[in-house]
Amino acid sequence: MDLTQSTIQILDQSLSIDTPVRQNAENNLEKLKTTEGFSQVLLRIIASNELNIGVRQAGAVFLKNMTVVRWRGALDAETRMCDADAAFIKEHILEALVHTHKLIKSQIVYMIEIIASRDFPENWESLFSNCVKYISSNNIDLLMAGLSALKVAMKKFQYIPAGETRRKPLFTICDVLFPLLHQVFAQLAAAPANAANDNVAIMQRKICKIFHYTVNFDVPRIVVDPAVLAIWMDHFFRIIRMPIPEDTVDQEPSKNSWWLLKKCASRILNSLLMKQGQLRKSDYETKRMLADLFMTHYSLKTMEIFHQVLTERSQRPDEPFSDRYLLNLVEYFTTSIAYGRLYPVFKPASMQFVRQIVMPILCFNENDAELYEDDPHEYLRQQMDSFKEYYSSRVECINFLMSLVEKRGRENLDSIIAICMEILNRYNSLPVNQRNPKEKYAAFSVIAALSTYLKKMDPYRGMLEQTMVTHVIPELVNPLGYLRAHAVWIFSEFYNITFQNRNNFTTALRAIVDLMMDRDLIVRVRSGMAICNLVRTKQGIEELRPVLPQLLDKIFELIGEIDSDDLITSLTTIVRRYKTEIAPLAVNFTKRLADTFFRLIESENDSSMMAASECLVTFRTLIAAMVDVPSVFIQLEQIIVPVLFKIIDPNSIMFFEEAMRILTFMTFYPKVISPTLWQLFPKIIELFHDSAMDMIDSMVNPLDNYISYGTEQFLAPGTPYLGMITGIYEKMIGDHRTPAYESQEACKLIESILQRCRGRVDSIIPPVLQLAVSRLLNKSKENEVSKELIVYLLEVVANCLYYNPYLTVEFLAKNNVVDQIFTLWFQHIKKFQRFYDKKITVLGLCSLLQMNPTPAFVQHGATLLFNKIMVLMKEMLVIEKQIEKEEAEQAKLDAEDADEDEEEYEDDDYDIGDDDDMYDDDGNFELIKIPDDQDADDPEEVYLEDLENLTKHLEAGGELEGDGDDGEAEVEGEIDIEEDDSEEELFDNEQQGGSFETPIDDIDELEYMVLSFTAFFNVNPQLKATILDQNQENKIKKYVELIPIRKAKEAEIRRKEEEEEAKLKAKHHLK
Amino acid sequence: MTDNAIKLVLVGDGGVGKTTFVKRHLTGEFETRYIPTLGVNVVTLPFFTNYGKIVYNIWDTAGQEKFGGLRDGYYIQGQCAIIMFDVTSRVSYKNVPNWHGDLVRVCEGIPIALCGNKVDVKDRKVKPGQITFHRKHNLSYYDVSAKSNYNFEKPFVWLISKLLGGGKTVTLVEPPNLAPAEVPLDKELMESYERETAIAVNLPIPENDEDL
Repeated sequence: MDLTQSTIQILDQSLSIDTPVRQNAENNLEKLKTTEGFSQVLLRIIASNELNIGVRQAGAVFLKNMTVVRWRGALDAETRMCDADAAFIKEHILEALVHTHKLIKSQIVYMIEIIASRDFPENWESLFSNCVKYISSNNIDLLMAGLSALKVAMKKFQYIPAGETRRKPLFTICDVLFPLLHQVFAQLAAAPANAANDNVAIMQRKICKIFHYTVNFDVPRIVVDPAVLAIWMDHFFRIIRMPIPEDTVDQEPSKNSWWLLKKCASRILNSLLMKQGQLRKSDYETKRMLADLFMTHYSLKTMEIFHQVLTERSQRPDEPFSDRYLLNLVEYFTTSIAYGRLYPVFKPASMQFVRQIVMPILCFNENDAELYEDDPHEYLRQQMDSFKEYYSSRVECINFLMSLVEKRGRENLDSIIAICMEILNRYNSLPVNQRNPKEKYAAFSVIAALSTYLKKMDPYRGMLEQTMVTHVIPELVNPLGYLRAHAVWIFSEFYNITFQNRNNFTTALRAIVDLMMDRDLIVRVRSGMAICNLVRTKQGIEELRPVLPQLLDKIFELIGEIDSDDLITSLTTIVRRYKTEIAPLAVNFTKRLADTFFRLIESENDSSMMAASECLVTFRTLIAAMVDVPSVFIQLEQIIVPVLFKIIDPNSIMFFEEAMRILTFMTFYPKVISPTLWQLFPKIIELFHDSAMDMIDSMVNPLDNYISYGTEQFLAPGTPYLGMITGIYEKMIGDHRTPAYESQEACKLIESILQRCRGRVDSIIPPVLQLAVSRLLNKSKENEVSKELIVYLLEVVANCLYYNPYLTVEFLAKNNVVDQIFTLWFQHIKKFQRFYDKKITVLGLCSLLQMNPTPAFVQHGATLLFNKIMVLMKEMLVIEKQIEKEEAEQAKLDAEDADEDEEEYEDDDYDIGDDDDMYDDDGNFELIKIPDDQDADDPEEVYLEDLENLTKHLEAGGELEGDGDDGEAEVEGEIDIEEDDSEEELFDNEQQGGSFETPIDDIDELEYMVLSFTAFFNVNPQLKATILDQNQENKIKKYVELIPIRKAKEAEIRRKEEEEEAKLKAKHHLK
Repeated sequence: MTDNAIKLVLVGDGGVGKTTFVKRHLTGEFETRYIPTLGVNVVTLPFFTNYGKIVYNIWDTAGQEKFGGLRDGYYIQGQCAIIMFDVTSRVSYKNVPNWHGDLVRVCEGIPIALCGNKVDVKDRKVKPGQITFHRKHNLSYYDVSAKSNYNFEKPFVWLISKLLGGGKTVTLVEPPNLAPAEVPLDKELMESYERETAIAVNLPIPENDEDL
């Protein structure tokens, strides 16, 4: 038996249900796999139509699987298919595609795609020539085979960027292919369009896709030949214009080949229009030419045809129509608005377009009604994330209207609002049974979308209250649920307008609170969300205060029904507004919130993740609100710690920063760290080592609090905490490639230990110094340093000196780095810019002076030391004065403010108009005006263009402005003197104003300095005359006099603070 | 083996419980160890319905690449299929489209049921609301639990009704001969899953998201 016959038999047996038979066949196939010529045999079997389909399919699948793993370029390559077999397949596979069974075809097309992605076109020239042959034939089967193969082969070009050599062959291909495709297009166009000719639609769609693949990234020159482009365009237009074959109208549009064909053509036309707007200087010539050609000759024509299609559709609104196609058609107009060439032409018809096409799409329709009844969750989801998942023709219509207003100004706003008002007035003028609520729904949608403009512009801003009263508030009790829900939403969008008559607001507010118990879920949820905005107003706060507990209950109930970050935002807003009232409810409230949080993070879809993250913000708000009420605060801790425990975890890294913010509050305010809180400490460290090294900046605050307020536990024998922090320090400082801005965070932790555990952690001094010194003195390029990091590392040294100068000096001397370190320090002394930097430097240096006996190097350098210390002291006194002055001013301002409104409400989140130029003298917002025949730039595109220029600049070796010398210093890895950089502001991105507490706050640096000087001269009386000049002597005398005055001042401040605190406590006690 | 039996192809990632699932019926043993299937195992399962005795030959295929054997070669002449994933393993659900793609390339237009196994495990990772694949492709979805027999017969009954065509309502006249449940199911939990699944059924199908 020859190989073919035996293979057929084996393939047949491989399908057997009889296990021994089948396994035997499998074993044989496994053996044959590597036999030369076997692939050829398989291909022949696949191609022979006489054989039973099962055998052929078995052969096709087996060959396909061999192609995946044994064709050159396979990832997990088994032995490669021999060249003769590969050549045979490449030569004949296309033939096999022609007459074969559908099920074999799908395997073959897949095989062609795999091979082409690795070999086409350079290593598989025959594929192209054979496709061309097939496509040029007059045989429909050959044609289909040629187009199918070509389509999957050309796919790879769509994402090969312009200018890449891999793209070059495409141009030759197009030169041959395009005339041919045009010819086929013409034939297909002539064929009758009906259900039986489904293939005609499918093939045309394949041709369209091939066109798209070729022009997607860059444009072959032949496309910009006007005569060639004209033919393509004619076909696209023909496709858009042609009616859906009558015998296919009942097919679901998303499965109907003719709708899919239209959708494809419309998408191509849209992307051609967009290309013009997305042109950038870097684009190749042909891409610019295509955009120009399209704009000049076809953009208007396309517009005309799309308009016609949309108009016809609007006349027969009940007939099926593909929504995706509808969206594409409308999108063309949205894009056109920005173009100076198109807008003037469209402008005269624009309002008719809004009335006739846009508004009907926005009306409440049958689908909405069905969804409202059957699946309220989905209805809400669609309404709320319409811009993400549910991109629909309706979303595109709103985009269109916004674009008209934003890009082409006031006149359009007025016209659109006029259309809406016409609808609203007509509704009110008719008897109830003749009104059209669906149309009113559309008008409401448009008004809400434009709310930010209406609230800021005359005359609308003056008319809004009346509009609410006449058109919106009455609908809060409409029997139709969807209109009630829509009215709630509209009112909450306009919550912050001025109500001349407070009763109007009250009426609406009460109605909305009632609607939280509506029979429809959708209305209830909308009302719950509306509360968020309503409590942002003063009137809302007052009026809701009496029903606060019920309000919270209701919102929690709703959160139980639907995951929504908006509802949780409502909770946060309430906590913020009712700090005092919330205290008695807080524990219960927090428990429910924690339950909600645990439920949300279990479900792990996007919307619940957003809601969960909103929950954490609410926790933080709660904690912040309860810091003055210790009894409640402690109970909250018990509830929140398990939440944090759960999310300090590699799988919840997205919540980590927020968790650390919450933990900062919890570890800071009570000034003690409870055992519960200590459970979190090792979790943080573990996560740090696991995956959160780069998030060290968010860990520093809570860890510092643990060290500061839990010092005893931190140092308790047998606890791992100290080692854990030094472990972080070792990792961040010891590895010199760690980015400087991350390493400096570790220094902060060590500083905290040195100050809080003074005298109790002697053993860590040498290793801490060792790491700091070696990082400071490492001049290799690998070492990541920054000016800030140098300061931080030197401050570690300063802290060590202040901690224990003997230990520190001993280490420095033993390692022979005294000179180097102090030289470096004094070179960089001007970089110690903040008050804290100067203070710790003074304390460190003064500690040296207090040593007895005085080390030799201190004696030698005493003049310099005294000098540096006194300069720093002078600078500190200047800063102190300045702070005092600022504080006094602030106090004055505060006193003035106290007369006005007691609370400043959160900024209302306007998206627009942050630019002052856009307001006139009365604070009236004005839209920009651009002449109709000029392009309205898309800010995003301008930004991309800028970005591209910047990239080029950087690629060409340029540098970011103002970053130049920094960069150099880092590249060189040098820590040398840099001339005059005292002007440069360091620590830009650090919190200003020292929001952290440290024990050295209580040390009066002036007193410490004076004492140190005295101690030094007691030990070294002989040096007194040589070190200080007269000027300095006088200064010191003055300082000595200052000390008691400063002490008195400090005491006074402390007394006042205590008084305040007592007052606060008394206040809460009364509650 | 029965000649006129229905060929059912069972596919899905390795370890989701395909073999355990079919074995419940046969041997009554719940396999707690994981022994990867090599290539394919064919097992025969009879069901007694209101339309008579229906016999399935279930081709229980290897989920792991390296034990693949003929892989999609086993799908040939399949008349219906079950794609199974593990609700405690997100990646097994993410791979469902791949299994589906391979299946339909070989057996066009056959009825396919999607099953999420191991719903008895408390730490469920793939929630009913997240299971949407079947809606786009006209499959039917069932939560199942091999360990507790939960919904064991559902996919088989549905597939029979699809194969018989004409919207016939198929019921079992005799319960399948299953081994007793290894774990009692939390009834309330299952009911809540059923409710959630019912909601998910009604969601509209997003239109073909291929742009062109």
